[in-house]
Amino acid sequence: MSGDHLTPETIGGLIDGELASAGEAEAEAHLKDCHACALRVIAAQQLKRAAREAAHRFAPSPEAFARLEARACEHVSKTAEAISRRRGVWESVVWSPIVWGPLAAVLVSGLFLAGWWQLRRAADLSAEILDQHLAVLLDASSPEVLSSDRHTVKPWFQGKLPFAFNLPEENALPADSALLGADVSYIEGRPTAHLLFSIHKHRVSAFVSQADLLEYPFLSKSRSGFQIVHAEAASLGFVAVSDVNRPELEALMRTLIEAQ
Amino acid sequence: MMTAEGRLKESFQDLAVPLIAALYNHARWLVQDAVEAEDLVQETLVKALRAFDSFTPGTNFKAWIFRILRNTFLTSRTAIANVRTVFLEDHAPGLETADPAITPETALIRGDDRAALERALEQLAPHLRDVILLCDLEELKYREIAAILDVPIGTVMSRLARARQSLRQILASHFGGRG
Repeated sequence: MSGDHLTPETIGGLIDGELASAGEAEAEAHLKDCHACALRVIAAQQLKRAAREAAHRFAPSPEAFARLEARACEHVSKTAEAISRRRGVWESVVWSPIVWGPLAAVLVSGLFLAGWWQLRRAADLSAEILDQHLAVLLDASSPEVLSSDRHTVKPWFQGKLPFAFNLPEENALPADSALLGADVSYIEGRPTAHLLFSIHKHRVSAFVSQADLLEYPFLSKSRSGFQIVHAEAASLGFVAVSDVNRPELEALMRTLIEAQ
Repeated sequence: MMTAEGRLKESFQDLAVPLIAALYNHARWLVQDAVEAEDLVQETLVKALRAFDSFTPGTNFKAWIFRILRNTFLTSRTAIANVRTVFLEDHAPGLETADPAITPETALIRGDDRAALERALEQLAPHLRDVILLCDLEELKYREIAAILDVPIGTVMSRLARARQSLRQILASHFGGRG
């Protein structure tokens, strides 16, 4: 309010329905007692109505209206057709055998290559493990550490491997089995614990590495007459290879796993 | 099930075609020329259609398309020619507090004085006439007018007060002269 009267903005807000409810109530209360402001509001309402009618001065001719409507509809149709065309092109691309054929071929080829790669890796890994085992069977080759004492062998690996593992007590090993020694081998370029055991007169190589290296699906169960046994424990992979019969090799593997 | 193009046709045409007359009227006030006004409306409709994705359903389509009309006008030759116009009224202190005393002339305003009011509207400064057109004729809210004109709501209020005061003064002069 301006002094004792409503401001032009308040009168405008009142006749335009733009006053907040509190402001409107205050203005209405003022109007009950102020004849001058009441007259100004009435005059403002009259002016608003008259201005509305006067402002509605220009109307397009029927021809101009028809032209504008026709052009608007024409543009809408063109835009709709463009959308439809774009979608049609997209759908034809999406469902076209030209697209799906090669994609399917790529998918099948990918699956085939993945399978082939797994088989190839299994063969390579099995061969590498067997080579490592055969190497220690040579008379001239002996493990780096020669000991049947787990308390000697296990500390020897400290600082040589990026993981740790346990060895079974000597009396926990299967009958007529013994730990002969240990070495560090490299399988696929990664350090691996190479444990040498004996079962009767057979030599057994047990490899311990991180589980992702010695993954079972990649390994064969036998190669060149040697048995290959795999197990996992404590995020480690264990592979034993020997020409001993498979049940005895599996028994040794169980004691290794139980020690973890 | 209606397709996207079907929805576009139905919704845009349903919303825009009924506003052609109002858009044309506003365009005529802006450009003062029938052909130019028709071109302005057509350009507005084309731009609105292109930008229809940005319209939020449930909001006031009229305010949305009037803003496009306004922006289209501002890039027109007519608007650029008037670019030097300075709206001193928006900044003049104390002008809105002047008491627009009721004169017998304003109290006599009726529908049959339409010609006098049309002339008064013609004499109003364009920026004052715009708010009268958008508020009194198109019945848009202050915030919608503010968005269309790209000014604060307070400026809309002060322009409206100034526009109405100017109309009264023009009419008072007219009736006084006649009387």
